[in-house]
Amino acid sequence: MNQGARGYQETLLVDTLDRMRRNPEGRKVVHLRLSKLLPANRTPVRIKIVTRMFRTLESGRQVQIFSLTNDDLAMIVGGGAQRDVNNIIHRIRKLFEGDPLTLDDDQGNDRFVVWYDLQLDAAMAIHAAQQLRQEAQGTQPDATAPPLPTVTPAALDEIHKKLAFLNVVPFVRDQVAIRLDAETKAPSIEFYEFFLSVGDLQRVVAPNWNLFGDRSLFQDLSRTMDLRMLDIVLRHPDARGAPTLSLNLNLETIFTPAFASFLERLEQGQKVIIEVQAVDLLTNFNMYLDARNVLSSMGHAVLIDGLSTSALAMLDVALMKPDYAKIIWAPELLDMMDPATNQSAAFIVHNIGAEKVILSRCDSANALQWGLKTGISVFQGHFLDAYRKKAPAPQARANRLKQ
Amino acid sequence: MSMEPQIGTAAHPLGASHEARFLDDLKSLDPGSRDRGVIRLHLSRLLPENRDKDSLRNAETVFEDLTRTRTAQLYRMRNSDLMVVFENHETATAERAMLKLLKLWERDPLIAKFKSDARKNRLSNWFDMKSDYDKLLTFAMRQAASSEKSVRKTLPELIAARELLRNSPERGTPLTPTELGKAEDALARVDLSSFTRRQPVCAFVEDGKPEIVFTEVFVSIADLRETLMPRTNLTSNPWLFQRFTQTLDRRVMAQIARREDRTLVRDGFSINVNVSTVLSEEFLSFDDDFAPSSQDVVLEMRLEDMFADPGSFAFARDFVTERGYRVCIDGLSLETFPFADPNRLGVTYAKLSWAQEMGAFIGTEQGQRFKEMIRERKKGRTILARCDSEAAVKVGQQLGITLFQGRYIDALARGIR
Repeated sequence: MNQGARGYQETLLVDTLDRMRRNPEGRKVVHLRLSKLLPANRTPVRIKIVTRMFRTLESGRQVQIFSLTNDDLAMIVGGGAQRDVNNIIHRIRKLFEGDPLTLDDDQGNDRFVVWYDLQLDAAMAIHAAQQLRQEAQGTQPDATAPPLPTVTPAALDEIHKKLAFLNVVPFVRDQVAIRLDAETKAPSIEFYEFFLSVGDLQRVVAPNWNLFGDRSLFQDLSRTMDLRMLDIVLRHPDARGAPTLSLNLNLETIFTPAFASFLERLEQGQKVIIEVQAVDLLTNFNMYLDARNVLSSMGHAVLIDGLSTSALAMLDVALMKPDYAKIIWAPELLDMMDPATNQSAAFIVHNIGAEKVILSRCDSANALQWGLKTGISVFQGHFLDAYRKKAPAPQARANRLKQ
Repeated sequence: MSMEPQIGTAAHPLGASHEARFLDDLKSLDPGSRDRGVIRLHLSRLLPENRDKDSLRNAETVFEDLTRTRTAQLYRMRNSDLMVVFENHETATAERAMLKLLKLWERDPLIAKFKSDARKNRLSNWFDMKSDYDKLLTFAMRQAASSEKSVRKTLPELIAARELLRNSPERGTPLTPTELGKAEDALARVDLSSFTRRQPVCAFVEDGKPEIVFTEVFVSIADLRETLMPRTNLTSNPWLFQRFTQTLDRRVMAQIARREDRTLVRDGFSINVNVSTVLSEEFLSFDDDFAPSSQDVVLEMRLEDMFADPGSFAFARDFVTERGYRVCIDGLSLETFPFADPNRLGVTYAKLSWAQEMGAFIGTEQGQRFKEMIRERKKGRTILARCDSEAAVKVGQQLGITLFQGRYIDALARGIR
């Protein structure tokens, strides 16, 4: 059987274990179930990095590494190296600490790492290895269509041009932000967020390219998307009469004639919230200051969008003094509740000002509970979309003012 | 002696433009022609009745002998104070003019006690352009900066300013994706070694002797642009520029890995990388060559790039720290420095670019805040980069900074290598 054959590493593992079962000499087998990580965490480079972290132990012949077909890692570890391996595993857990796989399951079992003592559980280890081999040999290579290639700079100009002339009205989506009354929990619509469905757009303007493969290039494309959005968003039925609407824009877009013209077309009293990304803000900090000043002088506002738990831990959002900050809900926020440290989520929210915080991507009652307990009262996410029907229609303050 | 910026409630109409001109003139004054004296006339301290239009004009008239022959220039500040810059051979004339003014306002309580000495009085401060140059420059910058801030621009003004910048011919045409594609192709063919520069980061210990901590290896983007695409403004589009730097990162890593320059490994060096570069095959091969001695390899990453995908950054940071690299946050300005807390970001260094305005905030509240911030970040040490003068180092030291980089440091370091 050659090395390229399907299930070669798994077969090697089964054979090696079989040889060792009579003379285990304190060896253990460890199985790292990297295949169960979230797809975003399971990129080939990350898998390679994890494997590489054990490579230095290999030279002492105390550790044998098997890189399995499904991206899992199996290692046979001699008695002398088990502590080292454990240390590295501990660090790998830290690398993936945002991934649910590194949390224990309901029964308190480790879902990420399984150890087998060859002295005691050789049969179990071999059985597990055999199963892995069976799976590996059963996998059909290239069963799915090959993924689209990442867009190239050369292709991007053409996509910009297509987008500039496309009718993007059918691609506009909106999502509500709901305010829950602190006492009664009665919902009301705080604002409507408008955005372009990029997935749908991609199928039309770049059916043969993956627009998301290169962040910088996608960000460049979003400059044209901004202009198209400003052009047509006010034609959307939900935008008419909405007291407040929010748009995701690049900071530079605010300083274009297209934005000035958009503001002119607003109804009287209509307020706009501009949602900007932390990366944009840190790239163009002076633009952010100008934007905040100029928008607030006209009664509009700036929101810092997409704050994940790791962003919150690393960045002093309060110091940026935004009008609003949008935090992405994640169960880890619960673990960041220790008020003793100034890195706790509650402390961070308090510092920004709970009344300025919007908790987004709420997918469960837990999210709302946590938010309300922390003093947050505006929420977004699928779990809230049900409220959209219950919430009173936005008070068309703009229209009333006109009458 | 007061060098505090003063802004009256009703600013003198010429103040803002004169303050800007005063700063420009100081800056363009070459060291050889600093044979001048400077008087600051504190007209704002006079009683209001002595500060009417005519009185203020008197202050200008007494220096007419000098202004007519262009041996002196006057600058009106926003608070109506007057700066007089005169050539040293006219000192006697300047002193005579000063005595006239003291006589003119002798009833004003400001003058009452000191009216016979042209130099020792509360109406004026005298400076020597040679020995007080830094102090004067600092003052001028502070005035000009506070003047700029007090004017909030409207949206149409900001749009117009941006359009003007975008279309200014000397900056070149904006980078387009197609241009970027061509630049990347060209980059693959060009020999980078002639564009590669090295710049040491030095520690200044008490006795002032610099010690090299590590040497940054980087590609001069300006020179590269001049060769590859002289008519294109590479930095006009930050997103496409970032993609260009990623391509460049990989080339530099390959180059360093190939060259086997032992002095680099001995002294320690730093390279510029994007987060996505660290999580690439190319970095893994680079790591093969350098990891065993990587205590001495510093990876410089930009703050905005860290926040493009904070999860990826945290992964990359933990990985490289594990491998023994140190991470430096690169390219910080006065505005972004407060957000780059090395303790929170889990990195070793934060690199702040020297800016002339920094001289102005020594002794101010903002300066104090900076000093505290730098002290609190003892573990994540601050590097002051782009130091092109001794003044930069002096100001940095006053802020508690001990690590420096820049053209001025290059000159010092040549002596110790």
